[in-house]
Amino acid sequence: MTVLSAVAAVDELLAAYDAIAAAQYRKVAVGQPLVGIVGGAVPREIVHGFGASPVHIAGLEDTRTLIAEFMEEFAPWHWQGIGEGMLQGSYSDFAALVLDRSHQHFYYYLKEMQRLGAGRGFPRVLLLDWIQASDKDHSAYNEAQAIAFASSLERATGQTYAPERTAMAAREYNGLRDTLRDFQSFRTKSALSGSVAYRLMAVSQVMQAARYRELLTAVMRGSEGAGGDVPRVLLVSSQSMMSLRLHQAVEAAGCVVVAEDDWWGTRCAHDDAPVSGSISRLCAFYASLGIGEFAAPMTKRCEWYRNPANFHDVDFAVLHHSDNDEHAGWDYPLILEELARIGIPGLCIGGNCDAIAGSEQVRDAVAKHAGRAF
Amino acid sequence: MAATSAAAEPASPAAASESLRKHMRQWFKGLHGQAADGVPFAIAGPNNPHEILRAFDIPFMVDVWYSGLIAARQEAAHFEDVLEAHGFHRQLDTYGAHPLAVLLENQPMESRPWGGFPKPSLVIANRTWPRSRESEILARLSGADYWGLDLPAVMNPQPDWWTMGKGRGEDFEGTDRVDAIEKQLWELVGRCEKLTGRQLDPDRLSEILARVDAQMACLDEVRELIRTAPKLPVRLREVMGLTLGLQWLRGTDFALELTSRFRDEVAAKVCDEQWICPTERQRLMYVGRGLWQQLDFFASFEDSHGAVFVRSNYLSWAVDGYTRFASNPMRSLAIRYATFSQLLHLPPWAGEWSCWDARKHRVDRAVQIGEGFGERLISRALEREGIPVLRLEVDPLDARSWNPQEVARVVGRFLESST
Repeated sequence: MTVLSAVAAVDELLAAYDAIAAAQYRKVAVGQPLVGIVGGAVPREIVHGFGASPVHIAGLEDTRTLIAEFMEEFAPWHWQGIGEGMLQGSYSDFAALVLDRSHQHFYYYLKEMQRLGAGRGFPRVLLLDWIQASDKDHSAYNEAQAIAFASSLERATGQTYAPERTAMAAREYNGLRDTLRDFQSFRTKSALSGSVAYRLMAVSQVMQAARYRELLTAVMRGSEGAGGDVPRVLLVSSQSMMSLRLHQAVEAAGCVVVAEDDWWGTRCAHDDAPVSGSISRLCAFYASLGIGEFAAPMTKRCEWYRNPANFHDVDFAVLHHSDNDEHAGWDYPLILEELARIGIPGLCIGGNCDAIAGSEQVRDAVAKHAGRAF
Repeated sequence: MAATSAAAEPASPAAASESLRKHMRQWFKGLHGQAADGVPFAIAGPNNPHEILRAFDIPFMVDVWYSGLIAARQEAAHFEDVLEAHGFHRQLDTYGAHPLAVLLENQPMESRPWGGFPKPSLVIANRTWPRSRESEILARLSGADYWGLDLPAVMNPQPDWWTMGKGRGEDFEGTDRVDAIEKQLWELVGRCEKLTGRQLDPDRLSEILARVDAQMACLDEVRELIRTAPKLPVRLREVMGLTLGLQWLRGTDFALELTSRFRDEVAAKVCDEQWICPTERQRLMYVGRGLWQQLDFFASFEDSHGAVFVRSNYLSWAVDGYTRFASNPMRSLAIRYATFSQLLHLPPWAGEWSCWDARKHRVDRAVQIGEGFGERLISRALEREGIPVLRLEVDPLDARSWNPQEVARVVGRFLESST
């Protein structure tokens, strides 16, 4: 039996990341219907319950031409990418695309494109409208949503729901999460750059779980060297970090990103999901994670920042907002307060990292702050 | 915004506007006295069930109304600086955030716009788009109780909502969604009961809703007059100011009386053929948020181009968005707020509705200022309808982004173009 080297494992994982960028998701579906997931609050275990393969969609499409007819430039970057992909027919062989509640308005845009006959080969577009509000009882509505969602997925995949398949997937993903949690601890001490570590974690959302664990374990087992004496950064942004440009800008300032408030990164290493096979319990669990600016109430979003265990060795936080952020930044002063309570200073910066000037703006601001702090 | 006394002034549109302004000043001044007497005060978002607060006689201020007031005083930029100084970056949507800015600046009360507002006991807002996180912050800073409305999504959005919204709202919105909202409204009732020590009087709530329906029926007549009269009888600035100002007073006798007098005055103008621009040649539609900092803009092209602005969202929204009939008042409110702002802005609802209403208003061209979510699709829908749209990148609330000469030049050129 050949022992997988860390280098080979990293190479395979990064190649899988590049495949995400190229929207080559089909590889993961072995003779099963493919279901795309947009957002962090759709339990992929449920998709397995219908005998289908789930893959998270990042919206990394390079071009943004067709979508400009429908969507404003300030719309979230990944909406525009996924919308473009939809219009270009990139998802035509998907059985369905499932959006979480934080993508409610994106759902309306996609439905409108479909209604207007734009693009070709639109898959079924579904919304899992599980209301994420920890201070209210929406159980009746949410239960109805879970039933409706199951019925829509059944139509889309042509298969009936088998709770034992979901339970099995939950166990498998919990194992994967265990590995991810180990990796999150590992990355803070390793020589891996943040942009590499983030990519390695992101791949967990699209790769077959057993193979992923094998690869990530090989990375941890075989990687040599410790991180240099550079400032360690927690990254928060108003937009998806999947383009890596924000990581690259921060690391160009001589820092290393060791954690992100992003469900493609650190936030995917969350607690274990329930293994009962119950759709509602899984939906409630995912909603309770409180990831992102749509978590309600505002204090729910801040819970993660209250736990020092989430931020081993973090020297400071960078709270970035894009030029089109109308909402996420409202949370930043409170997040800064929470971080200050556990001794982590923070820096709020703007800048469009998709442009050179914006990246340089971020890099320079971080470098200046790091110089002051160290 | 509690108001019960009737307006005394004769109502030409301009006089009605003045009457409204006077009333609001007087009402606003009285807030501090009420607060000193222990009356709880609330701050509400624009798309919330004010009727419930009114049924409890809880005086309330609408956050965007106060923001509009600040914009009209050309002070929006100053308060955006204040927000920025407190860590809220400039790109954030501050449409309803100026009350928060005033609170953060913490000037002596007499130095605040219109003498400032009392400390709120209750803040209500939307938690779904247009989400108002700033309201949550305001509540937190002022120690007020916070109630956020979670709106369930629409799974099968139908574009022609205005044809069935009023009478068949339950069918249109879906029972599960309406149930979810009604439940939240009862929760708000519980908060108000706790705050005031009184129970909800269902008859009073019914009366308030009946007055709201009557007010919107008057506005429906105004809209019909504007749509069908040979030329425009009333300026858009008056229509916008009155419709929106009275919207915040909906359910009061004052609002109903002033609205009906406004309707009568517009009808008289049509009857007497008193047109805003006797040489009217082009009818324009405004797409965007209230241009409160530059309301004179809407009259700028009457003499030079015979162009009048005949339509913005505000009047038509009052007619098509507010009136809902169901088996009981709470159900009616739940249906009204189920998809409230989304209908106004997002696909597929906003584009189809705008086109239908533009046709009814005999609109020739449209001017879009700024660009909010969904507005690109509204413009595209209008263009598909053969209505050219000019887009101006200006912040409707920030006077610094407004260059009057440049705007006049660009709009003038648009009006002179042959397309």
